[in-house]
Amino acid sequence: VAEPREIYIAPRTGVAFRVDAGAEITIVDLQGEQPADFWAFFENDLGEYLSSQHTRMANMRLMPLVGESFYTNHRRPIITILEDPVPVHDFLSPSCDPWRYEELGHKGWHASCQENLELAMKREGYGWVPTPQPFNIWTNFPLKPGGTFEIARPATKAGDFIRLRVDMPSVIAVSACPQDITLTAGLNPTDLLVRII
Amino acid sequence: MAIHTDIVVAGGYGGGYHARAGQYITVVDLQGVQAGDFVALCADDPGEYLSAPHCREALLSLFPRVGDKLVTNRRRPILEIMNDTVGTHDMTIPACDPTRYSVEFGVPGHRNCLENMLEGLRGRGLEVLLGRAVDGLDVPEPMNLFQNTPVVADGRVGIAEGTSQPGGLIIFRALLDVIGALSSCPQDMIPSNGLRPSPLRLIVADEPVIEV
Repeated sequence: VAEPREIYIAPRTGVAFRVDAGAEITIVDLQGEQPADFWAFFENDLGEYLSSQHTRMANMRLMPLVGESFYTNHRRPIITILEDPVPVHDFLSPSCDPWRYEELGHKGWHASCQENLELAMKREGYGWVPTPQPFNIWTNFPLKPGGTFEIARPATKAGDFIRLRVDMPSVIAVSACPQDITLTAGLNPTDLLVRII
Repeated sequence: MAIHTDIVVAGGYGGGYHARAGQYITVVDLQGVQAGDFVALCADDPGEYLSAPHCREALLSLFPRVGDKLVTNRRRPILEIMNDTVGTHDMTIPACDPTRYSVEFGVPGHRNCLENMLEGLRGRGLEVLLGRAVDGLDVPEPMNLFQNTPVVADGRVGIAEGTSQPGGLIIFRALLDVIGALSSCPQDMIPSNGLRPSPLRLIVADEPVIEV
């Protein structure tokens, strides 16, 4: 049995790593109320990536359930949800980016999930990548009748996790969302742990 | 009134347009129940484009309405919805593409919105798109005009017959200089276009065109 590999994600930062098909990834919210922006790219062609619109179409559902998969922009399964004890996620919104913080009135540089993705991919040697709309794990934007939604605190407590299976050789990126202006990260961005088997 | 573009996009085909900031873009569903996949890219930097995820967050809604300002992936307003006699548009599902037909329906070579929009954009200074050089995306995620994808309480999404009547239209005002495309969706295997793709009219003018 292979030993699990652990990757610590400091508050407001991101990581990228490659995994084989069949690997299992567990993401742990170490302190609670911390969203994880999650991306998956096909290792042999980073232009094929986990796509929210294609996933919605494949499942005919806004958000996959346990046992259902996320699909790429070439309509192939790339990630499957194995275990999801706190199934409160967002799959409709973009990652935060420099323009988001500008829009919220912040002056000067602010960490963002988009920059975290770009830096993590460059650091691991993959170069610049565009930022697809992520799977926003534990981002809580509850949907109301009529299709409107609002920004709420995550529902997670310390130690809550999600377990995913990787369905094709992939480069995975995860960002501990640095949002400290809206309720997205409970006004207190904290750290995450990734465990890979 | 100056009309800069006035084309009929045949059912199942695509067309393109330019619009300067301040001009009005009118899309008319001539025969009704026809979805139109629609994209708008910034003319001076096609790496910035109308972005459905950013619109959803800006509007805090799945569905755009009259008066809404639609935004780019850099969160700048790019189009404003000035008039909308249909009110049913989709911002959640992808354009149909070669894979959709060849793999999922077993019909290779079927016309599709992705390639229709590429055809519409071709020759407008965005050839770089064909080389996947723009943010790695061939064509941005479209806004699917007149496409009816109801979302029900438990998060399931449906693809239903469109609600637009013949002559139903939506009018945008361009807030930036844009280059874009419109595809009259060729989907004839599920009931989103009444199983028979039909033409759309696309007008770019200095004033909103409502009488059609």
